[in-house]
Amino acid sequence: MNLRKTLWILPSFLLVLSVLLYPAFRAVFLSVTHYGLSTDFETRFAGLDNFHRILSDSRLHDSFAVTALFVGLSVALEFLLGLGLALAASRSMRGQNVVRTLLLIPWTLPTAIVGVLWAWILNDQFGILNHVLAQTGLIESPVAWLAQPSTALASIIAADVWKTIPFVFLILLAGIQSIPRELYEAIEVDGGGAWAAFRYVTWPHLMPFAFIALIFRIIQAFAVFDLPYVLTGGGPGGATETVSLYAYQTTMRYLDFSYGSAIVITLVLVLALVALALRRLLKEPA
Amino acid sequence: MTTALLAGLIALSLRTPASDAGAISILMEPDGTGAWKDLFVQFKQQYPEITVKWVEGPPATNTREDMYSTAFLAGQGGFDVVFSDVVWIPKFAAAGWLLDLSSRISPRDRDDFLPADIRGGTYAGRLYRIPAFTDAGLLYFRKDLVPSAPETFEQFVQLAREQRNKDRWGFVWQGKQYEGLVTVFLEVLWGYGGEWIDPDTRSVHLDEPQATDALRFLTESVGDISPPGVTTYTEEEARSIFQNGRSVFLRNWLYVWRLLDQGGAITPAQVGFAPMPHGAGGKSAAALGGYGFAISRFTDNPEDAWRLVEFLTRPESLVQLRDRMGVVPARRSQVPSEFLPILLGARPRPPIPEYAQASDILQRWLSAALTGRTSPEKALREAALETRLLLKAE
Amino acid sequence: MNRSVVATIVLVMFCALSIAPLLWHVISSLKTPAELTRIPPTLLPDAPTLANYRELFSRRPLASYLLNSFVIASLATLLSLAAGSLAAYRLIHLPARLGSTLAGGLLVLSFFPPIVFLFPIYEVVQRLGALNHPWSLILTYAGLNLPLTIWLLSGYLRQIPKELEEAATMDGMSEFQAFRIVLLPLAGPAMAATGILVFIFCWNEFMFALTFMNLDQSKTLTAGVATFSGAFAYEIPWGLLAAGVVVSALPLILLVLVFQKRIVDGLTAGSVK
Repeated sequence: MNLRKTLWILPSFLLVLSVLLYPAFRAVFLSVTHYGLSTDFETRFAGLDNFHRILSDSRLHDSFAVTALFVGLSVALEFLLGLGLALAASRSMRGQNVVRTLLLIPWTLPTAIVGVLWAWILNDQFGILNHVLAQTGLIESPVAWLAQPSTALASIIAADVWKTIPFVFLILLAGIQSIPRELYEAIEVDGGGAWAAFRYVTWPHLMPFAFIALIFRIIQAFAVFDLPYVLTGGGPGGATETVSLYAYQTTMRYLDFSYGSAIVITLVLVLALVALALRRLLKEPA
Repeated sequence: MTTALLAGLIALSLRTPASDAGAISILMEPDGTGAWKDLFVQFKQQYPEITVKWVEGPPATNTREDMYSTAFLAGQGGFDVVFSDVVWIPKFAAAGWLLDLSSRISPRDRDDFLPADIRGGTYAGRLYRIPAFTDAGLLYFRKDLVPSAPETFEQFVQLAREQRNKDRWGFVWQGKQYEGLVTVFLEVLWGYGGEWIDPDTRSVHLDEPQATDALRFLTESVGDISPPGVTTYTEEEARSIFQNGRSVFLRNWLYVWRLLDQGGAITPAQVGFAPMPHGAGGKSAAALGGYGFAISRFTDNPEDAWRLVEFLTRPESLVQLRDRMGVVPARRSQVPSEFLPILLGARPRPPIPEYAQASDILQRWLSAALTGRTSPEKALREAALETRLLLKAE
Repeated sequence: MNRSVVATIVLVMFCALSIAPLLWHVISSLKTPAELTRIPPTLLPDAPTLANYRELFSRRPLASYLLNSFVIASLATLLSLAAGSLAAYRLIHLPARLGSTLAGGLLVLSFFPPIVFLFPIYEVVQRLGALNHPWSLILTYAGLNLPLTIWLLSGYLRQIPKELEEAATMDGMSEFQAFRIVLLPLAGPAMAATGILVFIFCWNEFMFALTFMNLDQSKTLTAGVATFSGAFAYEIPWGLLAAGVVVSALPLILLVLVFQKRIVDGLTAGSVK
């Protein structure tokens, strides 16, 4: 590799090294030390102590449960609704641009701002949602969406789905629109209806698109931080505390840097396992 | 054209954050009444050469704590003076972020300030916080309905049940998952003779029977003598219900007393206050609250910072806060005599550096029990286990 | 056809659902505090007022927030594109096996939850005394977006016929000149699409911005508005927050209106093989 060629990759290399590689290694290193407020900010080797503590940390286990629930429900809803929307959009050919623009807006908003946005709508006393639901007779008294453990996580999932459907929708729509018309005509000729068209033409072609979008979304959703931070701060009763949130608290509020690192390393390991499992599950042979 | 734009962007990006090297910066609570603003204006009049940059922070006390923590971690560009809740001092002091003020306070002031508040600002024998106003949890009651306050929890529950009807609840308090919940629980816990954490031995006592009794008292009141929504109340929601005549008993801080004549369905003449009840073998106790001022170790102007702290905590300033905000100054000479007995017996929360995390653990489990997600015994057992792991992590 | 009508209705409903929450905030931002706490809520403001916006800009350095976000996002995007395009070029000229391994490695890195990188980078920035400095975020964002940038751009550059490149170098241009004069312009659409996506990411990013910028005048718009302070001890100023949401959303809505097609291209580029 001559000097000239190295110069091309130097800026990228330096950025990746300092922003991605070094921090990843440092996080691994910190996870096997004791370092923070309780050690007077001295670093001491700790072996697997932190991971031992992780095994007994019910708050961490709960946060994984919350995160898994969030990922499962959010992604499932996004895909179902996104698919429905994409199918609908592929049929109705008018105003494609307007539709795409309007539907895209929630996705371009900062997630943290989406949190603030929904906090106002979900406000139990003055929020518009409770008012609309009461008017239509669906509820009797104002629901404290964010203050009850049962509805708090649902509210966060709803906000996330609202924001992210556009992403899934666009990818699936692109997929659907790339399917050649002739295949559909062939099904019609064979006497198949809408379901057959979907099963034998649409879905097989959509699979690769869906797969990629799914992987992206699941990995993104595992890291969810902004929404719970802004909407509920992790409450009530830790019902919406995700792993990222707990790790953040541990590091920035409790000043327990080494344990915080152990938590994020655990998150990466779990994510790796999930990714491998998904790959095995969804990879088509050949 | 594009190069000009690029150059402009880069120039803007190189603006160093405005360094107010000479100014004293402080993060305050929201200044709804304007009382703080006036004090800062008066300070400027007295010390024209000192510039104070004060920022109104968010209402939630632990959000402001996080903001201070983040600024301190940064080690520079942070705040010079800390408007400090009583529970922040152990963590901030242990982290080495504060200046030792032991030698700066005058002996006369040291005597004038209430001992509990001085203790609350002390860590490892050194004074880091000068108290401004103090606070304690009280039991407010409708003395037109209940002639005298109950002394024991049994009497309390009985009276509350008698007075509860379809328009009126028995007891409102702060049941939301936040620091306020810890103070409520502690008052009941101490009343039962229980303990949370012993700061000297760092032992945890949450799984002892008195703690279970205390938590049961609270969990059983939800839906019985207290509205189901009590698990979402902070100070204002509870006060609003009481002042609208819809509850017989209220547990809240001292500030409510001053606000009783400002609207609502009841008049001050109908309200009395007393220490919280206690259990058979225990003693009434109030949780100590209140705020004071500390100085950052990273400040460039310790002398100016001290002048500000001195100014804000002197009697003339505290009187203004009392009159406009209804807070109770931490100076013995200025405390209304009717509050003195309760304040003298007010107890601080455990002064350990890991307080924030221990409180979060307790809050979570208390809230889990109160909302019915787990039983009181299990909640306290788990809380004790996690707290022990926390305090051992070394 | 029946199905088409149903489809249109579904689409219209979703479009409405996408916009309605924002519209509600526009309406709320024009109400007085008294009207905001009225039960039941009014549909339209009784006496629309811009007071919330005035107060927003006076109580908070919103102009600074906007400027910070713009400077940081722009420079991070430019840096990411510059470094990424150069690296993408080199990547596609590598032997296939090495190229795809590197690309794969980068992709894996980009899948790490950002919280992994947060504290180690914070440590370094803090030691350098660079907290509250825009470049702490500019470099961080550029780094975080590099894998995606390289992946998208290399995918696109690969599609450009080799002959064009060879023709340019045979004309006497150096590799870099060929890259700059021939390839980059051809990759224009991809650069634009990638750039917009990166810009949006940087503008919207919250966690790093929250952690690195504690001084008010250094904050980005997203972090500043989302961590708003209250006006009274225990009340939340909904009017100001609604105005903050509107102000935060406007630049992005503008971006979508102008660049909708490019954004969609960028998003779907990865999946269209």
